[in-house]
Amino acid sequence: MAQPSHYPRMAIALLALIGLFDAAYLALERITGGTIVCPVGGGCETVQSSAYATLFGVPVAYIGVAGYAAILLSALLALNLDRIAGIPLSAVLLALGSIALLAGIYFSYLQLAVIGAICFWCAVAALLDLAIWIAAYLNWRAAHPR
Amino acid sequence: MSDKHTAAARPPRGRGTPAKPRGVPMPLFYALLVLITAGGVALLFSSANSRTTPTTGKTIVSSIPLDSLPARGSATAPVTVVEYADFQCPACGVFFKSLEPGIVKDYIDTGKVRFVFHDFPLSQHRNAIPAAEAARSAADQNAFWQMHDLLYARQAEWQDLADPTQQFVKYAQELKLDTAAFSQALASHKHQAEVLQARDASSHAGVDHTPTFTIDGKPYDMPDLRAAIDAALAAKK
Repeated sequence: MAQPSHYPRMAIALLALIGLFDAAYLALERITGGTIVCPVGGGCETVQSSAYATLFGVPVAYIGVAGYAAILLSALLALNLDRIAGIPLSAVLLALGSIALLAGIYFSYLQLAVIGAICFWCAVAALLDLAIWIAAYLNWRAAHPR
Repeated sequence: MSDKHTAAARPPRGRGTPAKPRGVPMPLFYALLVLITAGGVALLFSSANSRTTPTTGKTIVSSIPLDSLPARGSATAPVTVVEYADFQCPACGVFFKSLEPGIVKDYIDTGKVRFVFHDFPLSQHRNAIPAAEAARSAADQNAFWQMHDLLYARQAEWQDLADPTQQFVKYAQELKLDTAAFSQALASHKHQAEVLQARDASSHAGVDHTPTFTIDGKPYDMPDLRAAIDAALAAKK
């Protein structure tokens, strides 16, 4: 089997790192009670104070921190190992990337169709999720050539 | 299957055997990750430390017409000051207790300033929206500023209550308002939409902390307010 290019995995690590800081910023402001700097769109406070900013009692920002950390860790592992506990890391990355993509679509839908306001930081995260999924898919395809 | 003729430099593959990527030097990549991490952490720290970011240079104008908002002072006053505030915010309470009385006496009562109150309830203050609704419900009976003053003077009494409604009704009683009408307005959330609209407009206009004061769209913080009012008055002479 040809050695898959490592660029998609490196890209995922970079994207996940940026996503981690994006989520960490929102989590930090939630913990310290500060106001969010909202560079574009002006809907940050509206979105963050809506009921949809919490999922099953957990602030979405915290879930984001955990999620991006998991993706970052998996990508770094995938750059050095083929499998973890017997599971191919390319599959792990694709699975995590798919969850991230679904989350990005879901939260974007909520903002556009339900809340009626857009939070800049959520929009950035959604774009990162899409890019992560594309890279994870490319990586998985390269590891499983037909 | 791996290419046999280039296998010389490659160790046999198996489970868990490291598959080292070739091409781009990995140390460079990891160094980049560390750099980004350091930069990100520094940014987070600086944002955590600069609680009230200096608002110089921005223009803040709400989409809500100022004459539809609660205001005090002469309608023909030369200078209009807009306060973006949250009833539960401690700094706004400080403004009320320490600075506002002086401003009322020296500028509002003398006809120099018209002072407009623009709601900006923040998400981390659980009772900020109900308090804003209470103030607007009192406004129905021409008692906005009296309720505003009571709410700020007694922040500690209502800010942590699970349901502050009864406390607000007590304030309405104290102000000798029609408590039935007041309770009805609160229970039916008659003014909630306006409060939320004001909050969204504040957010949209770029207000990022409370209290923020604007004169002709220029934002000022509490310590700079009096000087800013004086400068604006001098400019209008």
